[in-house]
Amino acid sequence: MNANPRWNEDSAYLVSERAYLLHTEGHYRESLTLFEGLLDIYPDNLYYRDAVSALYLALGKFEEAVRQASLVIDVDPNYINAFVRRCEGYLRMGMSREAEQDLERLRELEADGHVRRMEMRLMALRRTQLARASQTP
Amino acid sequence: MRINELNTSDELDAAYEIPGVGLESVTGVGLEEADEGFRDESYNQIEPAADVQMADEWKELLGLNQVSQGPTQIDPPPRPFSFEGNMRVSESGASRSLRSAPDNMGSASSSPRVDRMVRLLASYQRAKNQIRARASVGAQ
Repeated sequence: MNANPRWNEDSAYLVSERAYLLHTEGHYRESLTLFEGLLDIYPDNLYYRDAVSALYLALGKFEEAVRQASLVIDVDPNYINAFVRRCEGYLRMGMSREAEQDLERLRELEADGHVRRMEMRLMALRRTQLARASQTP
Repeated sequence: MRINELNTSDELDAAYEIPGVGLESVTGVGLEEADEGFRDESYNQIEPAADVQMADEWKELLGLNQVSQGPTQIDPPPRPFSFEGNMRVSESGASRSLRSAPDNMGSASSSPRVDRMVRLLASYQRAKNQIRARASVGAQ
C-alpha cells in the first residue's frame, strides 16, 4: 500500500529502475538510499525489501540483510531469492546450522543452481570452523 | 572510454579507449619497432612474447576471473501494468513529475528515508540539468 499520496506506481517504477541501474554499476549506497525510500512508501512491496536485503549483503551488513530476508520469507515462504540471501548472510556470520536449514528449504524449492553453490559455501565454512576448532587448545 | 565531444544533435563524435589496453602494452614494443623486427625474421623465429602476456590479461579484461556476485544480485524491477507506453517516444507523466520537481515528492509527513531518497533524486536532476545547460551553451 502507498503511504504517500504523491507517489504512484509509475513514478516508483522509474525510481526503482534507477536504483537497479545504480546497483548494477556497484553504487550500492545510493541504490540502497532509493530502495529504502521506496520501501517506506510501499512497505508491502517484496521486490523492494528483497533488493534492500541484497544491498545490505553487498555492503557487509549481514545481520540487517538476514532480518530483511526473513521479513520477505514471512510473507512469501517460496521466495527463493530471500532464502539465498538469508543463507548467505548466515554463512557470512558463521551460523552454519541456520544456513543449513535455509539450504534445505532451497532444496525443497528445487533451486538447484543456488543449492549447489550454497552447498560448496557451507562446506568451506565448516572446514574453516573445523580448522579453527582444532587449533584452539 | 573517452568522449571527445557531446552535443544534443544526432551525431555523436566519440573516441573510445579500453582502459589498460594499448597496442604497446599488448606487444611489449612500439609498432614501428615491431615492423622492423618482422622484416628480417621468418614467422616461427619470432618470440611469442605477446601471447605470454595476454594469457592472464584477457580473462581479467573480460572480468572472467571475478567471483560471481550471486546472492547480492537483484532482478530488474517489474514494470507496472499502468506504466505509460514507450518512454523513448513520449515522456510519461511520471517522469515529468520526477523531472520537474523531485523536491516536492517528499512531504512533512514522510519518513527520513523518503526525504533522503528525494534529496538524492533532486541532486541527480540538478546534475542532469547542468549537463544539459552546458551542452546547449556549447552547441550555440
